[in-house]
Amino acid sequence: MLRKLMKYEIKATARIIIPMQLALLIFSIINRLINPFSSLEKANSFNLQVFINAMSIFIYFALIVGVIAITLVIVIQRFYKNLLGDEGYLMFTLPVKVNQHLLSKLITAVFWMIVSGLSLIFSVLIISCRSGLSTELAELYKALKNMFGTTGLIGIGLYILIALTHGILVIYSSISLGHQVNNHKIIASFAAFCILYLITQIILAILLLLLAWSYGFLEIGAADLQFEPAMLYKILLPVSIVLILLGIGHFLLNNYVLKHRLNLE
Amino acid sequence: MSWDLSSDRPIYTQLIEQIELRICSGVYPPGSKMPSVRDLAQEASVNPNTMQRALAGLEETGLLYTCRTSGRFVTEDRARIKEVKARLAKDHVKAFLKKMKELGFDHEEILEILRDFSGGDKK
Amino acid sequence: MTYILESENLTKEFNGITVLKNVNLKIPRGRIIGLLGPNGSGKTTFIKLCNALLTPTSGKLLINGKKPGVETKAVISYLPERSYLNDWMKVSEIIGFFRDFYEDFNAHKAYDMLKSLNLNPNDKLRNMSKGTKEKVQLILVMSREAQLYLLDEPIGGVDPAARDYILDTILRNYNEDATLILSTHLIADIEKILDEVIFLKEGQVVMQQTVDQIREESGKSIDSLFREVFKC
Repeated sequence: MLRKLMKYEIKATARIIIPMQLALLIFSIINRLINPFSSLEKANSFNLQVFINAMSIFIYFALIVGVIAITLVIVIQRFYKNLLGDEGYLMFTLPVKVNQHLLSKLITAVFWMIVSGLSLIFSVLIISCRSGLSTELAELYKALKNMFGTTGLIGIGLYILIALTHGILVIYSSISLGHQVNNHKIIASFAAFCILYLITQIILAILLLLLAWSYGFLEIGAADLQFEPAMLYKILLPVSIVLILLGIGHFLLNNYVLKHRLNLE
Repeated sequence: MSWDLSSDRPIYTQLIEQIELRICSGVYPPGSKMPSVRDLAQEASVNPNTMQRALAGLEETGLLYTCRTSGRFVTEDRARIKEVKARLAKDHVKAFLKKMKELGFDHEEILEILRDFSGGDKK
Repeated sequence: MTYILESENLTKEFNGITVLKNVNLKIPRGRIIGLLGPNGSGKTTFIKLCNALLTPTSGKLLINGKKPGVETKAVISYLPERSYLNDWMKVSEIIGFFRDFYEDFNAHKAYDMLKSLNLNPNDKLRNMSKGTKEKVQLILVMSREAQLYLLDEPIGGVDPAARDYILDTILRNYNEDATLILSTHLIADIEKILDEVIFLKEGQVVMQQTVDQIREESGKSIDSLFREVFKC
């Protein structure tokens, strides 16, 4: 059942996300060919050429922001419309468990966020494509590897994944909680989000303080400490664990609310 | 022939009447196979269970019979059909006479009207 | 498990308002039942409870001997009052959707019914009129070989010809082992196809009887009796 749900999740969201990514890709290629950045550097007077180049750059950055924003909006809107709008009558009467609905949406959302992130990186690479780029990238990679170690890089990658998943779950919780009030559900969701975000930040801040204290970062002379890769683990690992626990909490919360406190209008 | 059913009398009884009518008038000839319960119910726009009960009722009075494998049939007993026809006719006449009496006609006047009427038909 | 639906003292409250109160019902298989009552009497709430779209405040509700959940959803075919299909899909895609999730869905039947309405399976739901969408929803619901059909106001807001089509579709797809519960306040149109009626007044069951019994005992149609019982 989960696989079937995901099939339809992806079908429903790909209709908007894929064209958007393609637009970004195409525009990156166009920008690369026109090469407005270097032209602007060389330009010494304002003419039509300069104007077009400037617009090109503007549209490009707008697209980048747009891709992230729209992916996020789709994640939110998909959850709200498909589960708590009229379509909820269809979805919640399917012979499917509530946690399967949640998982299918969560996995798809994380998937699209990663795709958007990758396509952004890809787009930047296209734009900055020139001879010697590959050697520059290899050097960058080596430097990073030295700083963090390969496992460290994987660790950072995992952390990003965990933080992303947690973030989406917070959004889902806000929507589900906001749905509980009778009027102004959207404002209530927004308020719920602010509160949950605040609570999460407080928890993380306390955690970081505790970690810093236990590792002796707060003592005098701590500023002399050199940065070691091991420090990354000491911080990222506990934070990741806390985020995972919080994420599970949000998942269970959503499951409970949608199973026992559902009230479709 | 359309199914003439009103909502303020039990549908079950009305269905029996309507099927009797159709048997008498030859819509369902003697010995012929009856349509299925579903088809009949759909035609009459009534609940299949009610139609089933009506058909069972007619089986009890002998107008219909079921052949276990082949379905439901109208009886071949023409005498029985004639009996039903006579009964229905009597009911209609009774109702007619009642109405005419209510209008104030006496026996002679009623016969006169009938004679003119059927005479007129012959022309 | 002779009853497809059983409820015992089923009660549902919303914000302190009791919408359903001590509903006791035992509904057998193979019946077409009218759930009748004025607006706000609790019909939709009852149906939502059967579908696990709401949870009871107190009391028991069993479908096929089980509490509403994943297993009962598989045997219930539900037609809500509103348009609930994903707009972006084509008709053929929503049929595929139903086929994917419901084992008892008969796609052949659905396509046949669509053909008889001259509807193109490649049409997008988004482009259809409200009436056509409602017919598609009905077709999808009646193409399932379910054990319990719950139709919430299937003929409200629909023209008389469409009403006839809907009733005809229901009768044509009627499965003798299944029970069909129709909630409506338009009684005159549907009373001939009902076996039984349940009158719901202010959240309570005030009558549960077979229709012919009512007609025999009161000499009235269900529609007339309804007007009497629910006089304002």
